[in-house]
Amino acid sequence: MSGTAIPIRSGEERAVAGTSSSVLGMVLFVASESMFFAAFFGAYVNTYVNQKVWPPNNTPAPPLSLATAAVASLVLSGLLLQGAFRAARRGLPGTVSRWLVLTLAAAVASVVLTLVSYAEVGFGLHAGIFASLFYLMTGLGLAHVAGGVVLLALVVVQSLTGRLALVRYQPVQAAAVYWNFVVVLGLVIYVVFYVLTNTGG
Amino acid sequence: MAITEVQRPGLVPEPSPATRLVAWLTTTDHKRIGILYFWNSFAVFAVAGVMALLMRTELAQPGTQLLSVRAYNQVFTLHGTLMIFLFIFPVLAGFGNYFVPLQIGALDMAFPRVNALSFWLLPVSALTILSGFLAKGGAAASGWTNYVPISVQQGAGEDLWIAGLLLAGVASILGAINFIVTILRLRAPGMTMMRLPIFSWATLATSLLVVLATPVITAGLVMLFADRRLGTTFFNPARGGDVLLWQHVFWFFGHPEVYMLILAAWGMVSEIIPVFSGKPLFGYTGVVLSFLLITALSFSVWAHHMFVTGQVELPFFSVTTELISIPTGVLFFNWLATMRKGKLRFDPPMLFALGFVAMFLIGGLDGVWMASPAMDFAIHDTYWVVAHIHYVLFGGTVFGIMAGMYYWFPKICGRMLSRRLGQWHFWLQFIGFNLTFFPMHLLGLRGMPRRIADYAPDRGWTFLNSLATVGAFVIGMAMLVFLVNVIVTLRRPREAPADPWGGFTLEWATSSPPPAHNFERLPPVRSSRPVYDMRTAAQAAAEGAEP
Repeated sequence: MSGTAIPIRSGEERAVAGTSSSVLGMVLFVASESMFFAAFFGAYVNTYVNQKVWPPNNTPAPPLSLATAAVASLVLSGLLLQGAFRAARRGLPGTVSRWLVLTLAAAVASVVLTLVSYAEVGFGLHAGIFASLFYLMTGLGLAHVAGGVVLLALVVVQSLTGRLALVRYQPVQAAAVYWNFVVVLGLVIYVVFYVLTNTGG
Repeated sequence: MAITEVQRPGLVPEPSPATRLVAWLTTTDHKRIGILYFWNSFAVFAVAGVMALLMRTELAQPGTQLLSVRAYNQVFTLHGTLMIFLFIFPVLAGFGNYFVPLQIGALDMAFPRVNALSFWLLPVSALTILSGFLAKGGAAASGWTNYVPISVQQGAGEDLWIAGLLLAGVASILGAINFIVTILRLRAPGMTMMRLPIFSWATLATSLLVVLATPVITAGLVMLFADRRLGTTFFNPARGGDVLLWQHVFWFFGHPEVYMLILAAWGMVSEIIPVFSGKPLFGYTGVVLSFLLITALSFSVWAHHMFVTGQVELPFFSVTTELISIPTGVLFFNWLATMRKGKLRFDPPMLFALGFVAMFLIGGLDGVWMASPAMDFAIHDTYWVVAHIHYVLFGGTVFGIMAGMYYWFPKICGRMLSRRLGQWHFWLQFIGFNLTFFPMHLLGLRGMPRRIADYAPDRGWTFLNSLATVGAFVIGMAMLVFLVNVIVTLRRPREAPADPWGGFTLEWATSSPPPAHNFERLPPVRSSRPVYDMRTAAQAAAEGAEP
C-alpha cells in the first residue's frame, strides 16, 4: 500500500501518553477483583436482611484483638508504600528500597497476625451461614494479601538489584494500585465482620 | 580469524516439523495465538455439535432410543456449556486477537505472554469439563445454568465443571484486560477513540463486560464448590442460606454474558455490511453509543430470568429489558441505512451478514416478547426459550462468526475460500437453522418443557420435533461443506491480494497474511476507515488527472 506513510515505531513509544500499560492493566485487574468481592458482599447483604439476629444461629462474634492488630499492620504497610511511591517520584533509589522493605515487613506481619487470629475464633466453617461468609470472605481476603506480599517481594528484589530505576518505577506504581485495593478490602472486611458484629450491628 | 558464513535466502533450511510445532506452542504473536483460538474453538464446536445431533436424534420420536435420561442430561449440559463458554466466546476472542492489533495499527497485544496464557487455559478448561464423562456419576448434568440445589447434589463431574469454568473465567478476564490496555494504549498515531474501527469498539465493550461481570460468576462458583465440598451453606435455606442467591449471582453475570457473546458479532457485521455496500457505516457515532449503552444497561436486567420466582421486582426488570431494545434497534436501522442505495455485493461474507441481521431480528423480538412478565410466565422453561437463545446465539452470533470467517480468511491464510462452496454453506445453514429452531417456538407455545429426554406420543409434539431433527442434520451438512471449503482452500497456493474485498480498515493495508511485525508502513489515519479514505483519495486524484 503506497501513499503518505507513517513509519512504524516500537509499541510503547507510539502509545497514547498517560498511564503506563502495566499500571492500567493493574487498575483493570483491581476492578475485576472488586466485582469478585462485591458478589460476596452482595451475598452477605442478602443474608443479613433475611435474619432477625446477627450473627444468626447463636454464632459468637469473632474476637477483635488480633484482628485489629492485623488490620492495623495492613494499613501501616499501605502508608509505608506511599513513602516508597513518593521516593520513587523523586528518583531516590536507596530511599525507595528502604520504604519497600518496611512495607514488606508490615505486610508479612499482617498475614501472620491474621492467621494467628483464626485460633481465637469460636466457631468452625460448618457453623452455618455466618461462618460460611466469615471464613470464605476473610480467607479470600487473606489470600489476596498473601498474593500482594509476593508481588511486593518481587518489587523489593527489583529495587535491591537496581532494576526498578531502569523501568521508571512502574512496578512500584502497579504494586501500589493492587496494595491499596488490598488495604481497603482488609479494612472493609474488618469493619463488617469484626466491628459491626461486636457492636451489635 | 573467524569467518561468518552468510546464507542466501533461498538456501535457508526449512524448519523441522518439531521446530515448527514448538514455535506454535510457545508463540506470543497475537496472530498465531488468534489462529490457535480458532482451531481450539472449532474443535470444541465439533464436539458440542455432535452432542446437539445426539440430542436431536433422541428427540426425533417419543421414547428413549439412543440416550438414557441421565446421559441426555449430561449431553445437554455440556452442549450448552461448551458452546457458550468454550466455542462462541473464545472464537470471538480469536478474531479479537488476530484483528484488533491490526485494526489499530499496533505491533502486538499489550501483554503478549499474558495473551498466550489466556489462550492455553482454554483447552485445559475444555478437557477438564469433558473429563467429567470419566468421573464417577458422569459429567455435570445440571444444565449450563447449573441451578442449585441440583448442582449441589451432583457427582464429581460437577466439580470438574466448576474447575473448568473457573479456568475459562480467569482466561477471559486476563484476555479482556489485555484487549482494553491494547486499545487504550497502543493505537496508531492519528487514531483517536472516535476513529477506532467498529469491531475494535465492540471488542472494547465486550472486554469491559468481561472485566466487570465474569468475576461475579467466579465468586458464585467458589461459593458452590465450598457448599459442595467444604460444608458451607450459601445455598442451603435450612442453615441460613438462600437457593435464589445462585440465580442472582449467575444471571448478574449471565445476562451481560449474552452481550459478551453478541457484541463482537455486531462489530463484525458492522465492518462487513459497509464494505459490501461500498459505503461507510451509517451513523458510526450512534453505533458506538449503542454499544456503550447496551454495555451499561446489561447490568440492570439480570432478574428478567427470574420472573417466575416471585422474588424480583417485575416492572423494574421488565422496563430495563425493554429499554435495551432501543439501542439494539438503532443498530438495525444503521445496518439498513448503510445498505440503502449501496452497491451491494452478495459474496459469502455479506450473505452471512444479512443472515445475521434477519435471524438476530427474530431472536431479538423473541426477547422483547419475553420481557413481558405475563408472557414470560406462560413460556418460561419451555422450548420457546431454547428457540430464543438459538436465534440470538446461532442465528445471531454463529452467522456473524461465519461472516467474519469468510471475510477475514484471506487475510489470515492468504487464500480465498471458494465462493460457490460458501454459498452452499450459507443456504444449507440458513435453511437448516430455521428448520431446526423455528418449530421450537411452536413447541414452546404448545407447552413442551426444555431439558427433557422424552415426551409422550399423544402431546402433539412429534412432527415438530422430527422437523427440528432433520434441520439439525442439514446444519451438520452445512458445517461439513465449510470444513471441505477450508481444507480445499488450505491446499491451494497463497495468492490472495492484500485487500481482496475493498476493505476500509488498517488490516487491509498490509499483506495477506501480514508479516510478523504486522506492517511495513501505516497509511495516515484521519477517520475510522483509513484504507477507504486512501482509496477514494487516489481515485479522486486519478479522475482529476484525466483530461
